[in-house]
Amino acid sequence: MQNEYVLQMKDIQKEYYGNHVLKGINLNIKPGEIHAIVGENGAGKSTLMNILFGMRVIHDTGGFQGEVIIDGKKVIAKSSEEVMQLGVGMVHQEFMLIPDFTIAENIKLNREITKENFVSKTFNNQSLEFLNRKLMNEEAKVALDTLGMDIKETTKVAVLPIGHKQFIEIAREIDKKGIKLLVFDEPTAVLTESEAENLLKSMKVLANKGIGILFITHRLDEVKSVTDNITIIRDGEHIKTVETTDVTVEEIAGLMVGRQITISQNEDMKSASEMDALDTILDVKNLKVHMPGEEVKGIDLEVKKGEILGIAGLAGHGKIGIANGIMGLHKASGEVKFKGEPLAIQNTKDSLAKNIAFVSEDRKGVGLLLDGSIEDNIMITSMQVKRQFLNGLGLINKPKVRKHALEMIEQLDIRCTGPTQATRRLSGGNQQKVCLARALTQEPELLFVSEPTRGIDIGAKKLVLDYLTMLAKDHNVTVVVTSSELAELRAVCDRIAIIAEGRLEGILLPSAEDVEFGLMMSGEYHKYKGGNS
Amino acid sequence: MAEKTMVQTDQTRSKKVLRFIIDNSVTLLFVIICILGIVASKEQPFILVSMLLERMTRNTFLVLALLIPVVAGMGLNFSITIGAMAAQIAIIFVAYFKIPSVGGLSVAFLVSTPIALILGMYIGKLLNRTRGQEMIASMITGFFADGIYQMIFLFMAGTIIPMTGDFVLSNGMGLRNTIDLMKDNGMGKSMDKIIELDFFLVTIFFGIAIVVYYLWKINKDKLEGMEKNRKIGGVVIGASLTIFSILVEFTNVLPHKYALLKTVKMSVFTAIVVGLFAAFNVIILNTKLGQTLKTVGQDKHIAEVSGIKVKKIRVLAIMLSTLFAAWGQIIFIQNLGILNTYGSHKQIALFAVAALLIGGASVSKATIGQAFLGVLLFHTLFIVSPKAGLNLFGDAQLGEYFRTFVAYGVIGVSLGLHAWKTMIMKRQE
Amino acid sequence: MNLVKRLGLPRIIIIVFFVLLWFVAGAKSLPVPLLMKDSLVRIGMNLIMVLAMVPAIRSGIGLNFALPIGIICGILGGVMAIEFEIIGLAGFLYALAIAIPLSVAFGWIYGIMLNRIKGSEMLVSTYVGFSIVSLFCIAWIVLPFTSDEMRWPIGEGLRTVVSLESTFGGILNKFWAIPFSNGFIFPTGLILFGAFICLVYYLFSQTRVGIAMKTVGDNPKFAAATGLNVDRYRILGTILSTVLGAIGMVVFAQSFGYIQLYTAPLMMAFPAVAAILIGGATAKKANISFVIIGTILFQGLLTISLPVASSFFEGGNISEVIRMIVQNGIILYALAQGGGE
Repeated sequence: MQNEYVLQMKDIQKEYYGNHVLKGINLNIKPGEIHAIVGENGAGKSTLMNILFGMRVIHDTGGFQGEVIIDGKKVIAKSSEEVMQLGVGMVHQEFMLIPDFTIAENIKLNREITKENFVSKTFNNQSLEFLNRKLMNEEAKVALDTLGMDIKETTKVAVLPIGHKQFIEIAREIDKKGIKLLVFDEPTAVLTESEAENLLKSMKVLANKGIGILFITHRLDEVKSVTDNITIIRDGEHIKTVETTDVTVEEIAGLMVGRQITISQNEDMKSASEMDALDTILDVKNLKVHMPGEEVKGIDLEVKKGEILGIAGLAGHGKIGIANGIMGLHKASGEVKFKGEPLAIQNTKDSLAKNIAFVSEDRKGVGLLLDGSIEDNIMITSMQVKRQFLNGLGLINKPKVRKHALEMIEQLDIRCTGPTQATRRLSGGNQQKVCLARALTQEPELLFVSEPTRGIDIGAKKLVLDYLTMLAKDHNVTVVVTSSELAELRAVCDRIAIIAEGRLEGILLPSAEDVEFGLMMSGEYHKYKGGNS
Repeated sequence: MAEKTMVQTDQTRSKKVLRFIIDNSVTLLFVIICILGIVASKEQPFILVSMLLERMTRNTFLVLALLIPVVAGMGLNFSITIGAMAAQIAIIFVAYFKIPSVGGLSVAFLVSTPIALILGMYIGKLLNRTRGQEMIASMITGFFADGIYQMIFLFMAGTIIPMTGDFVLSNGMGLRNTIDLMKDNGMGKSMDKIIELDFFLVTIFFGIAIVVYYLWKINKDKLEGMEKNRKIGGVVIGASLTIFSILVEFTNVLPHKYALLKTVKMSVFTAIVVGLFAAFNVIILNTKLGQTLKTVGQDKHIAEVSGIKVKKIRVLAIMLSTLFAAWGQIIFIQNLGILNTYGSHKQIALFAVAALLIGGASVSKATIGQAFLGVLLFHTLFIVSPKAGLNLFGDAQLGEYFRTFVAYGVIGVSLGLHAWKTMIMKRQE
Repeated sequence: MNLVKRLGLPRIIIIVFFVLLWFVAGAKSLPVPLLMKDSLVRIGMNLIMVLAMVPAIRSGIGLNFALPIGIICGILGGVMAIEFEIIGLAGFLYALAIAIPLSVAFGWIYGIMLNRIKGSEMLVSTYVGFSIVSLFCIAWIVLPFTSDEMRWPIGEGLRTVVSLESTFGGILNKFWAIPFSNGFIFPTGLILFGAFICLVYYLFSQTRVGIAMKTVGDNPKFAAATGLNVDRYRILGTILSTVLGAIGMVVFAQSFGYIQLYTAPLMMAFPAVAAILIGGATAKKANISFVIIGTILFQGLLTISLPVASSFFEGGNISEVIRMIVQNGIILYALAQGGGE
């Protein structure tokens, strides 16, 4: 029975502890339609997919509102298995492949075809049946042929290049009987150009067979080349659904970004001419950082003394890698000069000693000793790098530590039961303040802050951003803020650098047009505007 | 974690050889030590071969019991000690009720099975709780269970467990230290005696079997060229083995020093049982269950996401391992002919694991070939060490200490190397 | 209620059981003052080896199952003192003077190895410990010692058990010992020395380096971001653990009056591990108070349980069996608490 739509998501709303992440999303996909979902970080795409696949995290946090209708049937899924039984498949970004198994074995994982034998009949147990490798190989071949792949199904997956592995993922999904909808989550992120082309071609092949395709991507030219319809989401809101032929890349880019007026503008923002007059405090040339998931592939950047520089970009494109690489937390190469002198970027200790401080985006993993007290967390870097907070005998000077902690608690308004409280017990915002306090204790000249307002409430956000602004203005500290929240960057920064696909796409003033931001973040800027910024 | 298959690039011959040496360094080192040991011990060939044969037949089953947990990604199962204890409980039962010979043997297998399975289930569940530290947990579990076992037989036998007669010590509490299984037509050597033949008689049959196999393969697959030549090579090997064996068995062709070799005996039935078990380990990997075990062993996360109940499979793997260890221990004890109540189970985990690793296995990969090779090498060293120590240093005890050192050292080195490789692979991701 | 939560139910059970045993001992007319003296001695002689677990756990290498490395260094120190016939306090200090540098060297090498196998330290360290002990079994036979007190009268090598009576046996225990009328003797020297070592370690933990080491163990990524060289501090922790193991062994031997060679050190890490675990530590968290509580509970429990159990079950070596069960049960329980790759 052919329904008009293979998937309908009606007026989907979701809140996480008071935070409205999705505010009424509508999605309609017909069989054979290729539908793109486009949006920035945090727009709500992953949450939407979690709802579609019945992931536990949705149920455990109060469920969702709205309807999910798969092939005409209303569904409230309790597990991803349920959804997959109904014919919805997902091609993940991280491959779920077992390197030592053959292609056929991977395609048939936990769905192997078996044939009976003497023992299995005696004990009446399917597990004891032999694998019917011949049939498995045959069916695997069919799936591979559908995708136009010319590889022996008995090859081990380990030897395949990444592009091929992506296809095996797809082959596994279409081998499942009754597949009606396939979700592709940023599939071309790890592919070469020609591999990406092949992928798009195979998408069309699948669509022609009547399979609906949901294509999540930021690559707008890919969207233009294969999709039928595009849904644009921003801040959890359903902005628009358009037919691909009715819209240009720039229009999509502009709709993606938009503008928000909840955070007040920084009145002291410097003008372009003021910027040019400043000295360069940090000179970065050809920075490459090997940070898994946030690769930086070669960036040249000049940071001006006393400015607030923002670093923006989509998730996974490398913006996070920059500060991490310069501070030596991940393998990096390149020439970096701090105040004219070369900086050994793999030597964290050296950078810290030179008064460069760093607040990590990984608050709990890298930024804090969760079982340590607030005061211990605050003093530790200065103690280790600058030998502070020690008494004459070389032992820890506890009264001094306490005094300083109390000062910081007051200054940053850290809500806690006292300086001895374990940081594990603090809320996200207060944890962030502790991290900031530690960096400030170093009395830095240059401060890197990554994702300063992630996961913290509005009040704390404002305080943190105001504090950063104050540092730059009153204390002449140079601040480099890396953030996924473009609106915030536009509110406090003097300039914003945009990183796409591991490279610097351009630098914009906060006042630049939405479209420019959108195009830069999609990496399309140079194609459509040409020239440098 | 899966050991990544190396991509075959243009590797020169010498590089391949170097690679081979590095990958198999432990095994090769051991071969050298064994050869040196044999030479130093000046042991008579007859004694060496017959002891080796006997040890291989009685120990290999236990080593094979380690395979399934390795496949399931749980590493080396040091808790096979507990399977051995289950076997010993059954053997004590059989000996106490004086069930003779093969009957007693069968009862032992029967009684040990549910005990081993239940214990295995609990061990499996415990190991699931110690994810990431399974191997050391299995080792400590073995020690812990040993304590309980001693508690039962030292203090409850004769008191809470009503046992009487000469099994119990004079003060009415505690099981006696040694139990002679040969007495009163007991189960001692009962399996071995079912079919006992001259070793070289067996090799005659073996040789003929090889010849037949390769001839059949050539005919069935209608091979040509290189393939055919290889199979013909196999036929030649089989034929020469047959001819050599016939000569040895029925004539006096061997030189004086080796003359006694023709009288070496082999427990054929036991060997067949071991062979069948080895085959079982291979066959089971070809079933759905085997594939599931492999999947869990390769990547727990992917297995979970694909719908496999990972925790249950791991428990099953340990249950099977414990069961097979129990059966292996029965084979072991019946060959020894005597049960050391408080000690027979003590070192078997250490020796089985060491043997497997010497054969070239690792924490994440083990095959039956490695098991056989490992037992061969390990027990060769075992046999020659005391005499070699005596001849080289004037102290047999030195030789014994040396072989214990080697056992521990091999495990330490092997585990260390594996951990190192794992760390390097994690860094490359 | 709060106390129960803090101490944990299993620990409460053991404390209650422990106290109960003393009452039972009294009820069964066992010589309580003597038993108390024995308990105190056992606690004192094991304390430093349990303390050796702290730098290992704190620097992130987990429970140091390769304590036998340090123990062997301690044995070497003692054996050298006998060989050169250095008696009394001088002998004790001489043994330490040999043992400590040796354990620094061995600990350093071992620490380098541990840095290559992050994540599997506990398992590999167990077998490294076993291997070293086995290796030295050969060494005791082969090394050219000449002392008649130590060598077998006929044949090669040293005896299995070597007496310290003529050198420094009991030197600490008897130092300023306070005898009571009811038979109880307070082994002042032993307790003082133990307290002294604990104090020294405590001071270390308050220095910049000590705090750095703890930071490395608590969160290596955080430590790296603070500019600390994780690998170096792990080696430091390993060295400290090995040195404490060596010192602990010398103290243990003088209290016991004998040095046990050959296979005796094989399992000596396990009681120390069990003691610190019962004191409240985990593979990731340890401090001096856990050491003290744990050693008191564990060794005290073992001391009192033998006579009490023997008074119920005549004959049989039940204490050994109980030790096996309790010790390994504790370690197993601790392992089953934290799963984590």
